[in-house]
Amino acid sequence: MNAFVDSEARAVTGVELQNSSLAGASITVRDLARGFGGKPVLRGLGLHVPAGQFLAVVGRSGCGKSTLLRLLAGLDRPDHGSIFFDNRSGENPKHIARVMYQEPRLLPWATVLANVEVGLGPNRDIAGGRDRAFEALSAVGLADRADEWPAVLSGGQKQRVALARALVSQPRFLAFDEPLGALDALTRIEMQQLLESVWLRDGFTAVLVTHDVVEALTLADRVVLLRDGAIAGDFFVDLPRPRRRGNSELARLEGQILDQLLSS
Amino acid sequence: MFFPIYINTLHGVRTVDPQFIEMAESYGMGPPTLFWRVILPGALPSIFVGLRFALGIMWLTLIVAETIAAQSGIGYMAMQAREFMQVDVVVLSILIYALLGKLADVVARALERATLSWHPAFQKA
Repeated sequence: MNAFVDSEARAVTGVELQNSSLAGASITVRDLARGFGGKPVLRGLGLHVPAGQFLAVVGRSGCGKSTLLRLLAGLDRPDHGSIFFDNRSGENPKHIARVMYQEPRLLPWATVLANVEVGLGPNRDIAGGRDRAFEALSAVGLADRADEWPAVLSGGQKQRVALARALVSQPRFLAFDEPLGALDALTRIEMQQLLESVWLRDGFTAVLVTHDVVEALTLADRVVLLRDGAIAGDFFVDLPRPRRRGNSELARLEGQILDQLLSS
Repeated sequence: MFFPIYINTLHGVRTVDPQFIEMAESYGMGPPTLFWRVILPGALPSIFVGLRFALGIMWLTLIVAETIAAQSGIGYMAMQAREFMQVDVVVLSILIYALLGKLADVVARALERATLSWHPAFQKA
């Protein structure tokens, strides 16, 4: 998997990329509320994600983390409250954000390459679109499968195509809704490395929703703990990348976050 | 002919996975693109079920109509032959019907194979 990444990109730290100009979008959330069927899921949530940060949101099932992500990505509208990108109001998140879902959601009737081309959005028919899609597919190591149907790919490969589709339009904000939840343990570790490397390379702002505290700590600069629709904990993970499994500082943070998660 | 295709097309459009539609919309697909790239291909397997079902009904109706009410056609020929005890002509009519039915089904299946090659059920092992 390391072969997909040039070693230079790996050496760059997240902190340096936060300073780069157009890469990531900062996200500011104020007093966000959303309920379903009269039951509030998010209540007055406030959050600021600096440009280029990798934020992980952890919490129990039903704590509202997926709802938060859908609101951030513009897939749903808040009951009240507001979301600003780069401190500007009225930005359509659909122009800035891309989402990677738990399921790959590849169109089964389109070839692997055509599925990546979907990610180009309205630009999909302009000249060079196909080359860009192919490039994105190469970046996830699946260039040789471009003309196959998604049905013949494995679960991990499908998720890699979905990642290429999300990356091909060079989004400034990438939302991950437990994209690795359905993968086996080894594929998961490979995918985590791939996610980290593309994030280091492209410098987008990333928000990852996950159940897995270890995954959150491996990838994120900052872990936010959600409980009952509000933020119950905010941890900064200031450790060098790539992070090794079994690092004592990671283990300490994991214990701390798990204790808070389970204490409710 | 029209009704089974209509019912099955409707069913096909309704059962296109809403997750695909959400994904496509979040990638900026407008209604025309959404129709051609997501809804129509998604509904195609059901449309073919309707088409093959309709073909069956079509032949049945045609045979009954030709046998009972027509003044020409294969069914009329068979009825005439029965009047004159020409068993060979009766058998020939039946064979022609069988061939036509088989032919229509083969064409429909070839169309299916050509347009649904992405579908796991149509992939060679």
